[in-house]
This record gives sequence, structure tokens and C-alpha cells, in this order.
Amino acid sequence: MGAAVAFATLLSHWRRRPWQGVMLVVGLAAATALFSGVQALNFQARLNYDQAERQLGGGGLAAYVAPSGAAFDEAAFAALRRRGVLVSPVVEGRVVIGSDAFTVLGIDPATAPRDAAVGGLSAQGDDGPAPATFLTPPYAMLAAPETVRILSGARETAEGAPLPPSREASGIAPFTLVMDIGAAQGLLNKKGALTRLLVVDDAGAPDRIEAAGVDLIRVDVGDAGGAGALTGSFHLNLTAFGFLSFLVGLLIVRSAAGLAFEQRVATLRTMRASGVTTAQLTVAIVCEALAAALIAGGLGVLAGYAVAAVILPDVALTLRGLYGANVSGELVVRPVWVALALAMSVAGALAASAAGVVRLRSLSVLDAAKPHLWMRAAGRAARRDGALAAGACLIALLALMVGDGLIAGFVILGAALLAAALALPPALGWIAARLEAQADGAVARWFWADARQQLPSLALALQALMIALAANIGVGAMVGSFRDTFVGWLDQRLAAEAFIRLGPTVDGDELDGWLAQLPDVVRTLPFGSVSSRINGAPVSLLGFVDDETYRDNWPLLAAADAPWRRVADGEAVLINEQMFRRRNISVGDTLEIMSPAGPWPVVVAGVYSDYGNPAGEAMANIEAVAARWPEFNPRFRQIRLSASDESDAVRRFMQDAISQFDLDEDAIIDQKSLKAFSVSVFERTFSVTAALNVLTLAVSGVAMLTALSALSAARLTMLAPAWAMGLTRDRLAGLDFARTIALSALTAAAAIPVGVVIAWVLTAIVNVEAFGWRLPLRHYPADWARLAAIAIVIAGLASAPSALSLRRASSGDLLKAFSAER
Amino acid sequence: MQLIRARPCALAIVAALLLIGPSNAQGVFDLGRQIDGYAAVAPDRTFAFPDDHGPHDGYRVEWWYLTANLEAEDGRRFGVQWTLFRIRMAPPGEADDAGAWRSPYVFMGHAGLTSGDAHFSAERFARADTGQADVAAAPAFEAFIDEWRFAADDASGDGLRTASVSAGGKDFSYALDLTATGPIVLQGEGGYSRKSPGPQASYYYSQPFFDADGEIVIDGEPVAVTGKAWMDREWSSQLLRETQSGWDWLSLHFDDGDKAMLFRLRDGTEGDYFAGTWIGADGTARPIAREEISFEPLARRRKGRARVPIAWRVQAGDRRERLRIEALNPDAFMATSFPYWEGPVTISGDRTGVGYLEMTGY
Repeated sequence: MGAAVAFATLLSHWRRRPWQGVMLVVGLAAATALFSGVQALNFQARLNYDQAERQLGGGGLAAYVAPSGAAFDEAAFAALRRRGVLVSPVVEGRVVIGSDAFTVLGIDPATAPRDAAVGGLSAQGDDGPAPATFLTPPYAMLAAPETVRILSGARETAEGAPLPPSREASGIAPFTLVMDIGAAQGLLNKKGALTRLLVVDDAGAPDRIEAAGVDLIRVDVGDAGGAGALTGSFHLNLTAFGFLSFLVGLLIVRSAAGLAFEQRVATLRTMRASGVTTAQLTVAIVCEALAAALIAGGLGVLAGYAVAAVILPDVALTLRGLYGANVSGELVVRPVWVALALAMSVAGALAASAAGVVRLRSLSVLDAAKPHLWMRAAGRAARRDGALAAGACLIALLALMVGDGLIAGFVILGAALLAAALALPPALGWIAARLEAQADGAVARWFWADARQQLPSLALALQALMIALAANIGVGAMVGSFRDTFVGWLDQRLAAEAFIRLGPTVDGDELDGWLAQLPDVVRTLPFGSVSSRINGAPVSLLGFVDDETYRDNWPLLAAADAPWRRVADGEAVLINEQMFRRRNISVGDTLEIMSPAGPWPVVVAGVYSDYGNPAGEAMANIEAVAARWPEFNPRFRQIRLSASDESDAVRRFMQDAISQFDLDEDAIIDQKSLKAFSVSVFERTFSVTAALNVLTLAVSGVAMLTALSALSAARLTMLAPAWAMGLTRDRLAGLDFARTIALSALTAAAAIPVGVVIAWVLTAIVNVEAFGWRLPLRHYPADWARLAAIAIVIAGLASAPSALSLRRASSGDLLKAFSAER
Repeated sequence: MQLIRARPCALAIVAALLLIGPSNAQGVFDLGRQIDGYAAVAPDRTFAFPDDHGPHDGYRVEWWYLTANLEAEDGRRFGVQWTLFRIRMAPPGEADDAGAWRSPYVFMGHAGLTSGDAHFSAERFARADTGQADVAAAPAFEAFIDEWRFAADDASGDGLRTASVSAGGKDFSYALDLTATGPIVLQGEGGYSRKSPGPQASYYYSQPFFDADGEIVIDGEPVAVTGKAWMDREWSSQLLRETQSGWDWLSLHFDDGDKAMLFRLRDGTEGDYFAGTWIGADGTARPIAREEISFEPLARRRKGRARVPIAWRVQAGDRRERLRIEALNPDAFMATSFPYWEGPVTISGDRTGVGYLEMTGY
């Protein structure tokens, strides 16, 4: 008998038990789906970041921008070109069309770098309008096909500005409208203004820049920190979730494959006795695993694509909201992630069947098919699992003590979850044994003893449930802590009643004069920023006016004595938490800030929290900044109004300001709207996390269903004696149902401390590494209760079919259990 | 249909810049096709200087073209090219507008420097009305794109008595002072230059009498040079016939002080079209009849699929003078958006001298 016959014989098992086969495939497919779905999201996002980076940076080109980052007079363009500095003008901004915001990118095709992909268009493209159509009124607007569909023929912006006719062009980042600079200036209400000058040719530029007398600073592409860099941590989180889902899925597969092996032990022995070699059987088992992996992997990739397509719009919103990174809402199939997903599926199936192969090697031909000694086997497994759990704990502790960085954080998470999962069956067994000992009456004792007996078969499903619950609790606590901290922080930090951003055409002095004579305006607090370097690292230096608005409201994480006074004196600065942590700077340290007037030594007087800002930042007295940066021109105003509570008065003030100075609608915002906007950005950020949490729970539900339905046939044999002793089928079904519920409830209880540990690792390690700030950890017992309830419902749903089939079992079925006994 | 790689094909370059494939671009750059609405070129125009040194609105294309044959003290010879094209992207119409980023005009600049063994070229583009490029006749003639500049010192006389020109690119630059030693010359019939037996024509005048003096920088080495320069001015709305595929154009400085301009528009269907002008040392110009000119390639240089003649036998004038024209550097290919060949040449045969050769459409 060869491997082929062995293979066919093995496969015959699935004909007899098709549901087991379905579960195996579903489990593997679900694992692959979640993993490949997350990978698809990551690939799509990276593709779009690349487009966006090439687009904004002009194909990786440096640029000149105003020191304030605001728009500047386009005269600088001709001034530089006339001196031989080859730059190409870009005007960039946002417009709202319908209910969506779009990036408008105005370029000058005449000077745009030929080999770079300005606007995401490659020079080799073959689509595009005729020159006159693109370069002269009414112009043309190029956008990705998907974006054109979203625009759906819109003719004007939300503000009523007419749009140029749109044309589809490939290679443009999503939600981006590329047009001639003349059209963009009109659309953005930035006539005569530019936002950056791309450096086309660098030769001799620095000297000539000085000679041209333009007030611009150079930014290199890396300095700006592309979307890829900013969003790296977000995608790492997604990937971690993908792996977690994959592991949960693998537990299902492991349980199905293990069961299938168990049920085929007799067949395998017979085949060995008939002369099939262990090697042939191994080949057969591996082939079976590969076949399952490819079928399930294919299904998984399809399902993963569907999952990603459903989640992608949310992810896109998150990334746009949090990082301003545009990601297309349409998924592109990449062979890379399909291959990766199939590889993971194969690896998973092989891993799941590895245990079978190992058992096969120790299978003795002469070993008679003994009745399974459940308890002894379980005892051995418990001891082994306990040892493994202790090992995983050790790894987690080691990573905590020695490890560093984000990877260490994830190692700790993984090891802690593994340890908890491995420790779960022994722990549950121990609890059941204690309960059995304390139980009154035979039925109660049998209930717990039977629960212990079931544990080995249910272990994997329960482990999956616990991992899903613990991850939910941990991530939920992190998100909740973040949300509460963030909202509290916003309340403190956004203390002024209104905020104004000055466009390039608004005269700051004139605005201040107008504000000063308004009776409602108590104080005007100008602030603005310059780009600089502190100890070599790029930072944004914020100049602000000393005021009680800051003194009373800005939370400082650490501070020297009288920090605000010392900053007001111009001898000290405050730094944000990101700098404090990443650069290892402490309060009292002396820093050297690079300024046009030379190095400026300052003392760190305090550290402020700065959630949502990925970059380093420092705050200094506005006059001290103005004295050292001649070009410094504060373009922001915080307005303190006496009518703080009356939003009507605030709205009136804003409308007056808009009409008086022809401000853009988005250039002025009241405190309430700004807070609402910030919070909505936050909510969207974590909507993906919530979606993935739900999916993990669903997968664990499937695991439970698999395990229980696989057990249900075997259960009859075990329950038959109890039935014979007088327990009705209804009673038995009820007890069976209750047992599953009880085990699930115990699992949920065990998941809570594990979840708390995960939450701690996420906030104290992962978050600090990924974002640069630390959150105070809070706990949400209401969430725990909700999750425990969900776990019980899942267990109930999963065990209902087998309980029902028990109720419906005929006496004959139960009697067969005795006839089968030797 | 074959791409026309002639000087007037600047529109195609802008089209290429805007990512248009040849099939789409055909209608845009095909200067052989009559497009209604542009200003027309007609005989008997009265030229006025310095006013006509400035731009002429309403035409599809106009250029300021300067070439110079230069020599260093050590006898090394060089050629220099400075060109500015002004291109109208659409016929004048209701949508006409002015102001930065709204003008229908774009500028294209080409600069070249050729030695016996090296050739450099550079290209610039600009929109009109942005301050990046412009041409004006008053208060004195000035044409510029970026830092490249060609300008008269003042508006005295015909407005081009003394001038300066400068440009540069990667590994080369030049700055020359120009002094006119003769008058401006109207080409063709009083400045009306026919390009075919049909209506294709341009307004065309030259200043072939510039003495040049200045410095070139080649691979970082400054070299003092002197020589002769020639300026062409031309504008038109319908320059080529549809069947014309390119041209060979010569400006010649003979050692005896005479000058000549000769061109051939190649036309595989209707037959080549020739034209030229003899210019006496005193500035008197005499058009050369079509039948009095012949061009015969003697040797070719291959570049890609193009095989460009780099030595010619040219016969011209009623005396059918035989001239042998040879490139100083056979590799004077302009690495511009639409490549062409342009470089200094040496004249031998019945007369001797130096000159410039431009060949397009190969």
C-alpha cells in the first residue's frame, strides 16, 4: 500500500465527518482571512503613502517654504528663478466639496521637475488634457478615477467656488485634485500665493537664495516626516492584530485537526499494521494538510479581501483624520499579499498537523486500542502546559527587563497572552476540582467531574475565547484611557474662546488693532512657529505670549520652579512629551536651539503633554523668538472673549472677523467646534480597532462551536451512563449547556487580569514607543462585564446545537453507547 | 504621420510636458494645419525697429535666436546658441486673459555650447506674465527666461547696436558682449519669408553683423573668446506645410565679410522647398531663388534611429558657388524635449568662413 492509497484512506474520514472538514477549512480560512485582510489594508495604505509622498515632495525633492509654514507671495518664485535657482511653484490646500475634503495641488507644468511625479502623475503617462485646456481658464482638474466618481460631477466647492472640469488620470493619490497653479490659487482663495517651491536643481542654490532676499527656508523631504513614517505605528498595531487573529484562527484549526487525528488513530494503526510505512503516512498527512491549506487559504484570501474592502473606508478615514494621510477607499489586489496569505495558511496548516505527525512517529503497531484514559492524558497535558506557560512568562519578564522598543512591547504582549492561554486549562481544571470537592450531591459532583473531563477537548476553544477577551479588555482599556485623557487635556488646553489662523493676505497688526477695540475681546494671544533644530534634531519652536490662559490651563507633566515666569523671561523653554521621551531631555537640562542669530542656549523649565502630535516641539517666549528669527511672523491668534458661554456671541464675533478681514471659513474656529473636531478625529482613529475586536470575538465563537460540535458525538458515550442512572435527556442537555456556560464564565473571569496586563503593556510600553507619550491607565469594569456577558452568549450559542441534539437523541442512540463498549 | 521635429514644434514639447501622447498631440503641434483665429502673416509688412524686437501678440509662435562662432586665443573654436520661443497655446478668443498663470503664452528657452569635442545644452520653460520670462522692446530690448538674458544696452538706432547675452546649464555657461557692425537685414521679400509655394510663411529679419566678445565656462574652465554672432527673429502662425517633415538651415559668415542664410524644408510628397538670402558686407540683401539652391549630404552621423548629415555640399546663388559645409563637432545634438542638431560649421570650397547649421526632423 503506497502513500497514495494511504492518502485516499485518510481522506475517507472527511466523507464520514463532513462537518469536521468544514470546521477545519473554516478555521483556517478565517485565520487567513483576518491576516490577509490586515495585510491588504497595509499594502493599500503604503501604496497611497508613496503616491502622496512623491506628490507632496515632488518625487523626493527638497522644497523652500515660508518659515511659518504659511503661504507666501508668489513673487519669490520669479525672484529665485531670475537668480538661476531652479524651483517650481506649488500651491496646496484643502477644499470641501459635498461632504468630503480634498487636497488641491496646484502645479506649474512648465517648471515642474520633468522626471519627478508631481501630483502623482508620471511623465510617461498618456492621458491628460491639451496644454491650453490645462494651463488657461477655465483650466482642467485631474484626479484618480475613484476621486472623480466621488466628485460625481460636482461643479463647485462647498463655499461656492467653481471647479474646473474634472478629468480622470491614473497615478494621482486619492482625494487629491491636481490642477494648474492658476486654477488652484483661485479655488483656494490664494491669489498670488504659493505654499512651497520645489527644488528642481540644487546647484549654487544656497548663495543665490540669500542674494535673492526671499524669506524662505529649505525643508528636505525627510524633515517633513512623510505619512509613511507617521503612520508606521498605526500599521504595526494593525499587523499585530492580524497576527493575533491568525493565532486565534489557528487554535480552531489545531482543535479540528487534533480531533480528526484522534478519531483516526485506529485507522492509522491498521494502516501501519498493513505495511504502510511511517514515512508514507507522514507524507499523506502533510499532503492532506497542504490540500486543506490551499483550499482554505484561497477561501481565506477571498474573505480577507472582503473584510479589507469593508474596513478600508474606516481605516482611510482614520488615517486622514489622525495623520492627514490620504488612503484610497478602493482596494487594489496585490499578488504579494495574496502569496503571503497563502504562505501563512500553509504554515498554519502544517503547524496544526505537526502534532499529529509527532504522535504518528510514536504510534506503536502493537499498541492495542485502549480506552482513552482521559484523566491521565489530561494530567500529562496540564503539566506540560503549565511548564510551557511558565516558560512564556519568563520570556515576557525577560523582554520587560532587557528589551527595548516597540518590538519588545509586542514580544511581551505575545508571551503574556501565550502564557495565559497555556495556563488556562490547568487553572480551569484546578478550579473545577475545588468546586467538585465542595459540591453537594452526586449530580453536582458529576457535573464538575465531567467538566474536568471535557476540558482537554474544549481547551483550545476556551483558550481562543480567552485571548479574544483579554485582547478586547486590554485594547478597550487603552482606547478608553486615551479617550478620557485626551478629552480632559483638550478641555484644559483649548481654553481660549476662538482661534484665528491668518492667511497670507491678512495683516496681523491690522487684525490685532481691530480686535483690541472690540468690547467682547478680553485679550488676544498671538502665537506662531519657526522650524529649528535642538541638539541637532528638527523641532517646531512655538512662540507664545505669557498669559494666565497658559499658566492656568496647560497641564505640565514635569516642571521646575515657576516654569511660566522663567519662560516669560526668555531664559527657558517648555518641551513636549515627545521630545522629553525620545531625546531623553529632562527638566533643568540646557539645550542649544539653532537660530539665524546663532545658537541660543535655554533651560528646560517644563514638559507638556501634546497628544496627537508625532513630532518634537518646544515653546518659548514670543519676543525671544522674534528677536532671534527676523522672519518670525506669528500667524495664529487665540482670542479670549468675555462672552465665553454664549455661543451666539462667539459666532457673531467670528462672522464679524470673517467679513472684516475676508478670512477663510476654516481660518477661524470656536473652542467648541475645535474640540468636537479633535474628538471626532480621535473616535475615527479607533473605529478600526473596534471592528477587529469584534472579528476576533467572532472567530473565538467559531472555535467554540467547532470544538463542541466535534465533541457532541463522543459526548453521547459519556452521558449514556448518567442517562441510564435516571437523568432525563432534558436535564442532561440543560446540564451540558450549563457546563459550557460555566466554563466560559470562568474563562471570562480569567481573561480580566490578563486583559489588565495587556492594557498596561499597551499604555506603558507600546504607546510610548509608538507615539512618544504615556497615558495614565484607567480601568473600565463595565466593559469587563459587557465582554463577559458577550462571552457567555457566544458560549451559549455555540453549545446550543449540541445541547439540542442531545435533547433530541433517541433512547436507541444512547443505548448504542453501551453496545459499543467492550 | 511622422512627428515634425522642427523648431516650431515647441508646442509639442509643451504637450509632452503635459503628458500628452503623440496621437493626442497631433492636432496641437501640427503647425502645417491652418487653425483659424491666429494672426495671419501677409506680404508687404512695414517693419519698425526697435519696436519689432518686442513680442507680437496673436501669432502661434515667435522666436529670438542667437548663434555665435567663437574662437579662443589658443585657436580653439566654439559655438554658442541662445534661443527663446514664445508660444501661444490657443487662438485668441473670448477666454483671453492676462495675469500670472492665466496668459495663453508660454516661453521655451534653449541654450547650447559646442566645442570641437564636447557639446552642452539646456532647456527652460516658463509661463508668461509670471516674471519668470518675458520679452520687451522698450525701454530697451530685453528677452529673458530665468537667469538667461539677451538684452540691448539701450534703444539707440535700430535698438540692437550693442547688447549682451548670457545663459548656462549643467557644466557650461557663457556671457558675451555683442556689437553690431552692420544693419538689420529683412529676409525673404522685405521680411516676408515663404516656407512653401502655398500660404506657409513667416515674418523674418536678422542681425548677422554682431561682433562677439566675452567668456565661456566649459567644465569649470573659463575661456576668453571673440567671434561673430547672428541673430534671427521670426514669427508666424502657419510655418510648415503638412507634408514638410523638417528642415536644414544655415547661417554663414564668409571671411570676405559677406553673409548668407539658406534653408531647405524637406518634403517627401511635394518636393523640397529652398530659400535664402545673400547679404553683402555692406548689408545689402538679395533673395536667392529656389532654383539657385541645392543641398547634398556628404556624410551622416547616426543617433538612435536618426541619421543626421554632418557634412554638406551646398550650391547657391546665380554663380552656383560650391560650398563644403562641415560640422565642427558632429555630435552637436540638442538634448532637449524634442531633440534636434544644432552646431557650428566650417565653410570651404569657393568661399571660406564659419557658420551655424540647424537640422530638425530626422
